[in-house]
Amino acid sequence: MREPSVTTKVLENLAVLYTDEYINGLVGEKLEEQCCKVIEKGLNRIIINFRHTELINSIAISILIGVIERIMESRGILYFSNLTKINKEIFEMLGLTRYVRVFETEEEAINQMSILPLEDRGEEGIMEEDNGKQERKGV
Amino acid sequence: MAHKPDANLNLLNALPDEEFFDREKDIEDLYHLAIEVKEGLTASLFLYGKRGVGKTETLKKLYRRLYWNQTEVIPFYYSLADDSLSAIEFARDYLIEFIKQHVGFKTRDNLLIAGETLSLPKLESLLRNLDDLWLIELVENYKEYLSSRDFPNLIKNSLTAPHQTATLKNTCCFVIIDDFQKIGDIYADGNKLNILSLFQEVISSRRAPHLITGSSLSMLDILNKEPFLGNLDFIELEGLFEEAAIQMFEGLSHRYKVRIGEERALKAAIVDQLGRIPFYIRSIIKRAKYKRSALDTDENFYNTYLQELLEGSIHFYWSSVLSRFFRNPPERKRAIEIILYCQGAEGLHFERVSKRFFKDDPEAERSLDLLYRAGLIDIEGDLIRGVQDPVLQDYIRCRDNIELRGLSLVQVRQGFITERQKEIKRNKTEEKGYTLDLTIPIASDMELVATRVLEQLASVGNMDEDSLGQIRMALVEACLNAFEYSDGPDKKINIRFILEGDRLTINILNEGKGFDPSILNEPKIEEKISSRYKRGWGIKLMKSLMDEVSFENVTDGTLLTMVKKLKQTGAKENERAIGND
Repeated sequence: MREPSVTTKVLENLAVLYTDEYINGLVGEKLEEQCCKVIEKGLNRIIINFRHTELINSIAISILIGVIERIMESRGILYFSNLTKINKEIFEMLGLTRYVRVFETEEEAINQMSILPLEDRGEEGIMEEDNGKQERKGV
Repeated sequence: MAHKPDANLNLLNALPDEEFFDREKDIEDLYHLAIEVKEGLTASLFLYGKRGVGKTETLKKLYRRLYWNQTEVIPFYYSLADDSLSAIEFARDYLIEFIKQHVGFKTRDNLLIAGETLSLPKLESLLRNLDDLWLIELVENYKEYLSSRDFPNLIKNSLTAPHQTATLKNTCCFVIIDDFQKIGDIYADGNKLNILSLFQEVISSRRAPHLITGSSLSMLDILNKEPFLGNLDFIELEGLFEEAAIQMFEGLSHRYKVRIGEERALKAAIVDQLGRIPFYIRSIIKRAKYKRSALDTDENFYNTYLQELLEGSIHFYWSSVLSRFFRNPPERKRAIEIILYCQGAEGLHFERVSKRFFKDDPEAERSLDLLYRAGLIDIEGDLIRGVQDPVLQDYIRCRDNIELRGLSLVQVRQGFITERQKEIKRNKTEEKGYTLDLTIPIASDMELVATRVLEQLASVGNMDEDSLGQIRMALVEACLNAFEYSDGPDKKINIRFILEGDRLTINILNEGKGFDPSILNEPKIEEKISSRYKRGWGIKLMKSLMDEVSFENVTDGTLLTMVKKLKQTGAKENERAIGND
């Protein structure tokens, strides 16, 4: 069995997590664990960079939903970046993009996250759809 | 002077040559082995093969050639009766047949050889006229052992007659015994007599070697039980090669004036459906002749085929086998269920089959053994499999539909034809495209093996990147679903990819408890976010990414079929080019 691989880069006010080529349940759990560690350290602005990820299975997606919930509870911000076309399509189809903003590149995600004042972070972070209209969910 | 064989005589005139194809080399090889007996070079042989493959006709042709083409090796052909014989009947019958054929060969009396079995008094009278003291002694010995009820010696006297005769008369004999497996059914005083052990001496004879034959499974079983039989030389008579089977099909249709299609693919499909087994091919042609129907289209063939399965020679043949081994209806019914259950399985554990059909009934072993002896299932070690005989499989399905499911003949006919049409369509699809079969173990990340195969297929099929990404994801989900719902002992799933033109079909078969997707609710993100149970996205993903997704509960498992209509890479580039213009 391969070792699940998730690496973390901690910047000034945020952390970037890099995932494996294939996110199965084990890698998903590792990702969740890393997110929790980051949050425990007081960082609740997280970007998950999927640049290495070709495939994400449904077990991992359910874990990602758990990560979204966790960030919501911590009133943090979660962005996704570098998604392949199919992975983006899947996240849109399942509704994850109603809660998480998706950026083409990590740089764009960092730039967006950096311009948010720390106290207002919730306004830009987790989103929730309401009556077909997307609005920021304050957490 | 020898007479030309009379067409009505059995032994000297086997099937007409037009009905018997592609065995010339087998017969020629056996003939040479037989005439080498005079040089003491030939050991006893075991000729094996499936039911209906043409063993009996091969033996009869061999006998015929030995009778007409040479004078030094005395041929003796004996076929064991269908019904259980008593030891007395067998010993008498075997001895009379041997003496009759021996005398007939020596005197070139075709009528004696091919005529009905003689009574003992008639035989004695014949021998007195010939003044053959040795043969008279054999008959006297028989009578003496009979009166003293010395069954082992009674049988030994008959079985060793060819060997002893050859030795005493300084000549050679070639003994051909058909349906040898029935030897186990011979009884004396109500008990089975181990006649096999009495064969030990005669089998090793170089003056009168034996060529024995029988259906493969039962014979191999017999050979396992009597190690001395392992010294036999083994020769397999296989089903016909495609070309020979087609040739036979064409030859018979010409002979019986049955119209067949010109297209080779159709002829090949027909003989394949018939397992390339001569008995089945002959039965179909004769049925078509009898019903004055043609075999020129799939539909016409399957109509005739179904008639054969329901009421023709094939029906009669397999019904006889079933009735012979399973005399009462409940036993037969269970036998049909078991055969059906084992069909198509790669190997089911004995315990599993036994538990399912017999619970704790100690009869399980006996019944499964009977099925095996009847050639209706195959057993290897602890594993049970269906027999690779497409006609038998269809026959059993028909009986299951009628007797167990209570369907009418009309319903069975309709269901059968519909199923065949689908299959023909599927086969045509497969012929045009690519079909890949893959079996993967249920283990972590094994779904990625399936995606690698898909990628390879995509490169061959010129599949566009978007479609590939979607199918890859759906395939991963399908594999995970199959893993989750499998509980078969083999811990594996089977995947078939069928790529045809702009359509990819993926079948995933898992053993197990079955799966009903209708019980699942459509997952919603807003509910999942706050729910403890966040899983349950697989089916939604498959359905969203593929064009067709269906689940079917099959025998002891689930078959998932996913279809994707593809955009070809080239086509997409063309679309872009047109758009740019």
